[in-house]
Amino acid sequence: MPKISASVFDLGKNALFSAQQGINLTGRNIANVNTPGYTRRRLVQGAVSSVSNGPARVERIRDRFIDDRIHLETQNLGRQEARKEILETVEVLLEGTSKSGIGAALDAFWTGWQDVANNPAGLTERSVLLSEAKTLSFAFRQTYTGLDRMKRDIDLRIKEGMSEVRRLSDDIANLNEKIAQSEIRGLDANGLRDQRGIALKSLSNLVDVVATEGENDTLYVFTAEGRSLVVNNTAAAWDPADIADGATRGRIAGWREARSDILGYMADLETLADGIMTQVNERHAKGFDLNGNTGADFFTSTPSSLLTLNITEPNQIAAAQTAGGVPGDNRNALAIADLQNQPVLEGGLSTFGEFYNALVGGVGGDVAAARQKTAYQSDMVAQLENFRESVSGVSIDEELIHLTRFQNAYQAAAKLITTADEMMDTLMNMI
Amino acid sequence: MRITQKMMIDMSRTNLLRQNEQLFHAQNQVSSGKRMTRPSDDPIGMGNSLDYRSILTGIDQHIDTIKMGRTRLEMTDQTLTVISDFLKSAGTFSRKASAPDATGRAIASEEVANARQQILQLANTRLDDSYLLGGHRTDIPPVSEGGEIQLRQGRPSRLAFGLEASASAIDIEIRDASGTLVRTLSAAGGPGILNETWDGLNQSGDPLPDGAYRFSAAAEDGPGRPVDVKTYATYNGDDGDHMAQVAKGQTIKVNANGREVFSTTNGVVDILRVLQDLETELQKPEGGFNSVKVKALVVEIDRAMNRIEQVRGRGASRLHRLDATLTFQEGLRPKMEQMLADVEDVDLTRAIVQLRAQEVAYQAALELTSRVFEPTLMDFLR
Repeated sequence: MPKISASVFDLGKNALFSAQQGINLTGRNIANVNTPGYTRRRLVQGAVSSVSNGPARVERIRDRFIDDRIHLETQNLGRQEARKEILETVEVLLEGTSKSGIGAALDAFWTGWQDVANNPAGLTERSVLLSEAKTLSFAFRQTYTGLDRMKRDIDLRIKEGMSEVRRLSDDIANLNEKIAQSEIRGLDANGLRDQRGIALKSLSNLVDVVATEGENDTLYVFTAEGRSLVVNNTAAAWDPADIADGATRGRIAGWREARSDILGYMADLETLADGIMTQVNERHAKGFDLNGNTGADFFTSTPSSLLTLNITEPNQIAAAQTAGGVPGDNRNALAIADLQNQPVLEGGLSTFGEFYNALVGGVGGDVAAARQKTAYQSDMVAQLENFRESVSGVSIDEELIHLTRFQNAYQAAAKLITTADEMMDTLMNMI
Repeated sequence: MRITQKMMIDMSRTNLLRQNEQLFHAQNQVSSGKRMTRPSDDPIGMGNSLDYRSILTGIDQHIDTIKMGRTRLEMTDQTLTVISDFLKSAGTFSRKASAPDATGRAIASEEVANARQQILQLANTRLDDSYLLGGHRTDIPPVSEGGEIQLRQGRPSRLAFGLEASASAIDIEIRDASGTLVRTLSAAGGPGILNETWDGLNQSGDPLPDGAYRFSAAAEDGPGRPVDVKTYATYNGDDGDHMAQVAKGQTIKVNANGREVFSTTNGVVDILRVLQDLETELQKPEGGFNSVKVKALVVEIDRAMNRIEQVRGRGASRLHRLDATLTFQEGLRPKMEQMLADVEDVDLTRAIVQLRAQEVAYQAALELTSRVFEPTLMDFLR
């Protein structure tokens, strides 16, 4: 026969404790409904008896596979987004229809030569041509140095990104250690696990990582290439340059891609400027200026400026084809003006204007593609986050039901104790 | 699928932001009137837009050039017309002159002299600081009076003079504007028009400043008898063409040079020589007057007038070509503008309709978001 005092009171006590645990946990879930990265906890309770309040275990509800997918797609998103942001800034630099852009300046330059051809002796037209040439030179310099500045900006970002990767790796390593220690002591390490998850997600945004859980729930973190970032409880020693160069996903990969895009655009500008300089100089040298001398180099290029005007005086513009034809001979000016129609670039396929238009169009296409990919990735990550939230998120309605449940259990347990107490009373009063 | 509040809120937020973006884009299109603001909005369209803009700049430039060309051709034609008129009048008077009629001959001589002066001035017509009939040499007067030199350093000057008979010693003296002798040259030859070249240096070999100089010549034949030397108006220009780019790949000549208009012999302008000789002949007294010679000279005048007519004819046909090209370019312009507008500009009606639709969708999304926040279990538990 069960003993009243010991067993029922103890049972009641354990029941109360158990209900309290449930209420606590529900309370914690509710409190963390808006905490980012929080996975809801569930109480897994063993049988409650008079001698034990049930071996309760707190479980984090999460789907590991969804988490892995989120990490992967976040890396892809990071890459596309980083590249898109940079390219959108580049696009502004190369804006084609702007009055101060290279395209407009180039058109004005050819027009300047036509005006000189129409009045070869006129100093006004010649001065205007020199001015247009300076504008063209300025437009090239602006765009080129703008791109160069952006390239250096990216290098800085990559450097900062790698510092962040270092910091996050250290964080994960620390958390690994703390989690292990907590587990040994039997403390609840779930909060730490959540933090580690957040750190891993931030890391995924930056660089391509593959994370595997090892024994004792430690997280091993590698790059997709196989370099280790975190092994056991230590962040591995690695060279930022190696990691950055090998990154295939994450913002760092995106920045590197944008950087190589920019190098491509800069090379195109160099080709264009060099082509203009070579062709104009070659033609100019065949003509004679107002002083009767053969045309000097019209343009030169320096390391800091792709296209610099070399002629200083309007007299030095070689518009005439023969020395005796000065000043009325305009045939050399006509020939130079006609260079705009000559397909001299791309192995004889495109004119200067066509080349520039293709460059602008190319940048536009790159940006549009990047924008599209980012939107797609963004949607994908949002969907996956939704899935994760569906599995691990806190539903207020659900928790309130749990709360009611545990509250009822608590009340019932209290009732149990009261009943046992009344039983004892009755017994006492019998005697 | 298990739905949490966070999911509903997140979804509302994402969709609201997306609606915002689309609304912003629609507003941008309507307020700017442009379909593309950046190359990435439509990369191919942007490429076309840049093309069309270049072409439009080219068309404007060509139109300017054509107008310049027309002015030149018209002015040249005008000049040639007046020259022709003077030649005609000189010819008419000279034909009527005969040996006995001294007054008539005097009047004719004056008319011929006047014509010669005017034609010389007309040949030096300028347009905007450049001489029309000089070919490429637009910086010096194409025709200079006999005995005059326009020196430009770096270009040798041609001295032309005529001899009636052969001379073994011709002394040429070059003087500057103030009359100082700066150089002497020697030559021999004749009869006919002779040329001597002066390199612009003085007797010591130093270059002299650019400007106007005069030369005179005295000649002797073998035995030492003087030979008459005449200086005639000379042509200082060349036969260069002024080409104008009026369309892509199309140039048109828009000038006429002195050598085309007047024939020259060794630098001397023939018609002016003819007029000079005519004037001299008409002034001779009755006994020395050679009507046969005069008739021969009048024939030369007719020939010169024919030559000018031919030049005028060529000029007129070029003018027609210019007009046709102008019509073409002016017709092309609005078409290009239309193509540019089609690519760049937004269809305002469609854009506004889209804007309204976006606004409505945005409002609906906002309302929906507010509903998401409403009921939870809290409202129903006691």
